[in-house]
Amino acid sequence: MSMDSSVRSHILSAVPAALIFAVSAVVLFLKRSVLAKAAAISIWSPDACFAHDFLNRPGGILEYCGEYLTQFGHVPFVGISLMLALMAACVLLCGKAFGKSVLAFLPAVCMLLFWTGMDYNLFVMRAQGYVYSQMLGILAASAVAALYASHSGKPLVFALLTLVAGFPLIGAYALVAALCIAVIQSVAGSDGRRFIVLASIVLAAALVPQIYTRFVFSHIDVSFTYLAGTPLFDFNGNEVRWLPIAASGLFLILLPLVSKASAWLSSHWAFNLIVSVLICLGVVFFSYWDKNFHSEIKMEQALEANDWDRVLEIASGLDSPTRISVMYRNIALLYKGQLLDKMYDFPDECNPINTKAPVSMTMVCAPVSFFYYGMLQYSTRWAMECTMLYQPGVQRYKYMVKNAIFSGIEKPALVEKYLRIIDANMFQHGWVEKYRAMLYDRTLLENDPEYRMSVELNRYEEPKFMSSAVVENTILRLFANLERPQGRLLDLSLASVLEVKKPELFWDKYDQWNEEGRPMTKTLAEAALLFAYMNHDETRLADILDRIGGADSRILKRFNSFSAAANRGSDESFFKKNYGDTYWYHCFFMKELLTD
Amino acid sequence: MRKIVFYTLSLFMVLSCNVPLPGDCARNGEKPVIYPDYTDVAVPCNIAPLNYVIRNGADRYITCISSPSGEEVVCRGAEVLVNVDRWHSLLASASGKELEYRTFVERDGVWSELDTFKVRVAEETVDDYVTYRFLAPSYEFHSYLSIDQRNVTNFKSRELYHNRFEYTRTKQQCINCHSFQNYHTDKWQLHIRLVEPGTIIVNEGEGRKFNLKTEKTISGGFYPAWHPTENLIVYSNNLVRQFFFARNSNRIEQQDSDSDLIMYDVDRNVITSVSQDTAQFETYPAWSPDGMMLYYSTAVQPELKELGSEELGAEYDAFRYDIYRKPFDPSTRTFGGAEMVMDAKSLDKSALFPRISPDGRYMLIAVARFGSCHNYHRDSDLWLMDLETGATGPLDVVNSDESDSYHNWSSNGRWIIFTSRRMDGVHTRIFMSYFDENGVAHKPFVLPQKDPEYYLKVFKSFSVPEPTVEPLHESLRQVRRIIAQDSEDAVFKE
Repeated sequence: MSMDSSVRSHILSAVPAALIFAVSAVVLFLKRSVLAKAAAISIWSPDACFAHDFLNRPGGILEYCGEYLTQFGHVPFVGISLMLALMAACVLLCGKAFGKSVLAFLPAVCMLLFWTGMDYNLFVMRAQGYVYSQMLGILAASAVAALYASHSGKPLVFALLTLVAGFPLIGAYALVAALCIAVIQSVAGSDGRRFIVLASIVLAAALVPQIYTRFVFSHIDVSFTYLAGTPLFDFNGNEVRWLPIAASGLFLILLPLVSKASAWLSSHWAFNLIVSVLICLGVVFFSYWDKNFHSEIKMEQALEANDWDRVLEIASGLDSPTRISVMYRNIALLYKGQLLDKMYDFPDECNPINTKAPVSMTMVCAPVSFFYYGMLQYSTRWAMECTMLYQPGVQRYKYMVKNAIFSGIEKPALVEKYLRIIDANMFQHGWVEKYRAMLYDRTLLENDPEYRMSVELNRYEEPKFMSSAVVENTILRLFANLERPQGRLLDLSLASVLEVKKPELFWDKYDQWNEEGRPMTKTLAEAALLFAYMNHDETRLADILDRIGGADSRILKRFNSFSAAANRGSDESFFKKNYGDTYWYHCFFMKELLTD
Repeated sequence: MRKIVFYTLSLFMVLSCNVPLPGDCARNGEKPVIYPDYTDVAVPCNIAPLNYVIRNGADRYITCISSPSGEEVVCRGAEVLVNVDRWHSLLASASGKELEYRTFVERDGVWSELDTFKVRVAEETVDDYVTYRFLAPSYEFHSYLSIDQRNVTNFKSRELYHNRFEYTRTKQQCINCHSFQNYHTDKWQLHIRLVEPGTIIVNEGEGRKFNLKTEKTISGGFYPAWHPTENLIVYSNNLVRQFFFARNSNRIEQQDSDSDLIMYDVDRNVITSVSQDTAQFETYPAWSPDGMMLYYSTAVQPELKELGSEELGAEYDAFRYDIYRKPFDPSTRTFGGAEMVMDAKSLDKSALFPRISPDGRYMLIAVARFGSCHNYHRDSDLWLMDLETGATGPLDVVNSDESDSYHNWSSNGRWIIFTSRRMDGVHTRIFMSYFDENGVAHKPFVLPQKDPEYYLKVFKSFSVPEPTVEPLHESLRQVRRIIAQDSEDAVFKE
């Protein structure tokens, strides 16, 4: 072969791999905020008691290592590079085991899809380290297969060793490796003995884990034996999330069957290209792209950076928001002092979250929402519940720290405990030092905008009875029923009254607003006009007209045309198109706030 | 290989505990700051080593622990870790007397000595085992939790049972209210809720599961109290609600909307009523040591029973519980009339959880300003009532500024074992306080751990400490098999 054709051959054989990695990298990049969120709701500690909780069950070391690696998600570029490196290692090992073929990508790509296909299940994962743990598992299984393939002797002994030594460490992936060995040797051999070996390995794969779960490990039920090391408790009602894991393992086991054929096919660049394109399409198609999901995570991250404009920028791109993004956007408006001006300029809807996972909006956003609405104890409460129900996480402990410092009701020893474990995680030291300084020098709090706002929003007496059902209803109930709220609390209180549509709670607060000389806002004017009109209160109407600029006021003109359209019996789509940015639309067409 | 590692570590520990003391060095007048705080406590003569860490900043540390007989242990480093066997030898030599702790610190090449502190070693032992629920703090939900048993003479503990076997998204098994008859483990019980629900009762090696909810009772069995000699358990039945505060530092109020007392005959699987007064909230039963009296808490507030759920929440601070008792005749298994023992309401307090000392002389209660669950009340304190004289008051030396509750007596009546949130305000820890023959309580100490910073690293609470003189006989898998059984319905007898 000439130099040119040799170079061309190399380039053509590299193109499929490059294409798959490029597409994977792009997908991971587009999901970098999700990776950062996953890192935020996981945690690492070097303590022995932390490790003990993982090592008392088979496959726990995968979670332990995965949890360690998840820290790199705090710097998404590093986290993405790590994921691609693990993928590459898996591909190389599969290539070593089964011959260089584009099909060697399949196990790794399926595991990539396990991550990129992650939906709202993210918020309620119990398995720890899941971002990387399953990729580590298939990587370990591939390594065993590659090791066997390079030695190719005594398959039964190799498989038994894999099961006995591997099951405690990598759980179900040891079974995958053992079965892969069984298939390799049955394909490689030519006599009937290979089927006896195959059957023996299968039997060992069935029995060895049972021995471990029945007699050695006490932290796994026998019924979960063959799923050890996978997210055992996480996908009830959302079983489709198992598919990538199952597919990855299955591909690894079956690759030896097609290795000879694929080796021949792989010598044809068109086959490689076609398969790689199909793989790329699969990665894109089977990844989870829900706009609300990604936007809510970005909005949350922008809130935590106090970048209110960024929150609103993201919100403006959402046509069918859930109440999560509505709450986040209203927080940004509140902090910008624009809540009663612009809260209905954005789509005001209550779409359900797009997932089969039994996730409640409360579990997604409660610690964050309650914190920014100044309900610090509720924020702590839900951070604790999520920590306990799902898993401890840096972000959850951070809210407990902030709430404790801002409220001043917790012991410094408790805050130090949380700071200590947060500090054990990478990239957190600066944050820890900032809040540790505030803990011991409360004068520093005066410069913190979040603290100043929480003080403003905390100026109310303990309500006689507060139950906590869904997050938004709890917030609205509290703030709508405040008496003589002051400052920014008045904005929030009025906004809450409007959301729950209680005119009887409106007028006192409206009058207070005017007494304080605060300028009339768009939403306030719309609500006042509507309520005064509904009550046939001519005195009120005259006063409102005076405040909004008289008969030429644009708000009045719109209100009149809205009334006329209502009298004509126009349908909802007409009102949404022409008046969707008004309180009137919310009042008549938003039937019930579905937060959970 | 394991032996080599073991002996190497042992040698290291021995060497690190046998270092020469610094020569003449001045006392610097500094108090030792140690974590956990074991200064000036009284400990049982069979307790595990009081491992701690010194927090007076210095370059080097040497600690010398000595008994009056001259036996001593010397440790190097900020962490004072003593070998279990050496520690027990030291305790034995100091039984009834005091251990003296001398701490030397080196700063910039100069050694000085901190103030000495002492630890009194009581002659009386504490029960060798304490069983507790080990779980992350939460309110409405629960997740992974376990019932653990710790040998308090060393650092060994084991899980008696955990709920990780059965664990789904929508339901998590809750295990609670482990209880033993008279400090022994041949008879004990445990409630299971939500998944494989029921009450398991192990009676001299035979374990069965029962459903204690009947048509005549408002709930299944709740807080248990084994009769000290008979196969009878008195339970409270409780309908519990929780309310969450927006500002109150107690965070949560757990309240009974109704509660009664029933008695369960273990041998016959029969339930009878003890008190189902519609005007009262009866709960937290406890037997006298001779089994002739049943003590309990009750709120006699019929007006509260009329309230609906929302209104009940609004009246959360109106509940005041007093302590009552009823005489019991074991031969007829009947109760006499109730008499008030402590009028907490008149003190504007709520008294819960009576526990009678083994000699029958004293009663311990948890007292707070109001409510039916003091676990979440920061003002919850332990009070002591002398049942002979009626003298009642808080155990100031025992109490803290955080919730102190769930108390028990050791089997010899010399130790009060209770839980407290004093270390960080959230996580409950097990504390012990010496109660001497003069009826005086001493400064409590936290259950020692091998790692002195264990309590800083662990984000779980120790709940419901129940002391026993012996370990549980059943293995985890045996308990699992009992729980997996179908439950037998108990029968209510009028």
